[in-house]
Amino acid sequence: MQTLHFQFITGPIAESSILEMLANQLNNKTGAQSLFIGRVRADEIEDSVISAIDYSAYEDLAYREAEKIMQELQEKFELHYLTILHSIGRVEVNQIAVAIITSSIRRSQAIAACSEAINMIKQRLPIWGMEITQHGQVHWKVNTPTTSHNLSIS
Amino acid sequence: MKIKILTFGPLNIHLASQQLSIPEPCTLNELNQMLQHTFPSLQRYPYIFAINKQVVDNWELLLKDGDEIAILPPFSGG
Repeated sequence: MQTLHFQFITGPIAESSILEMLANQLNNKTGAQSLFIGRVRADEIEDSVISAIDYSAYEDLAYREAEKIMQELQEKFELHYLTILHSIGRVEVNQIAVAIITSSIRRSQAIAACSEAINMIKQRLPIWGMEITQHGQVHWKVNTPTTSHNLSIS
Repeated sequence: MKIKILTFGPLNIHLASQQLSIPEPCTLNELNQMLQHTFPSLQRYPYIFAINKQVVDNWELLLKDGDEIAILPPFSGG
């Protein structure tokens, strides 16, 4: 298994694939694993309720930036493994749009890395979410706080 | 010279991805002014540029024939 792995998944991320990765993402020194799962929730917007998010991305740049993010996290937290999955396309309410698994020698590194990873994904990966309401209206998702455009500059 | 413009997210509504012919020489700043003049609704959004899949903030950078210029509105993944 690759030590660092980033992948776009078309549609929702399956629970079964996350469990499989948890089982495979360890070595004899791994004492802790941390898992973050991000699901689409039914936020209320202008008298309607979100039923799905349609994600799009500048994939070429996202893969490059994800590589940098993962290397930074591995170095900082001495991770044995790090896997990041993000959906592309339509993901319905309650379905999984993001999954992060970190593996390390102790829990403090695994938990801290997982937390920092989701912040970095939101800030640095060129991904956009279009929220679709039950009435068919669309809104562009806004991440809060506004921390966009923190990509590394060449 | 010809360049390729890529737009994403909410900017797609105002400016579709397309090939553009621009005068030479042309800096990133000059291209930005041309785009904002031709597509005034761009001015409503914050955005940054990536050239050939590298984010750049050097406004005096000279563009080259065949460059791929991506216009990136604020990200909203996760």
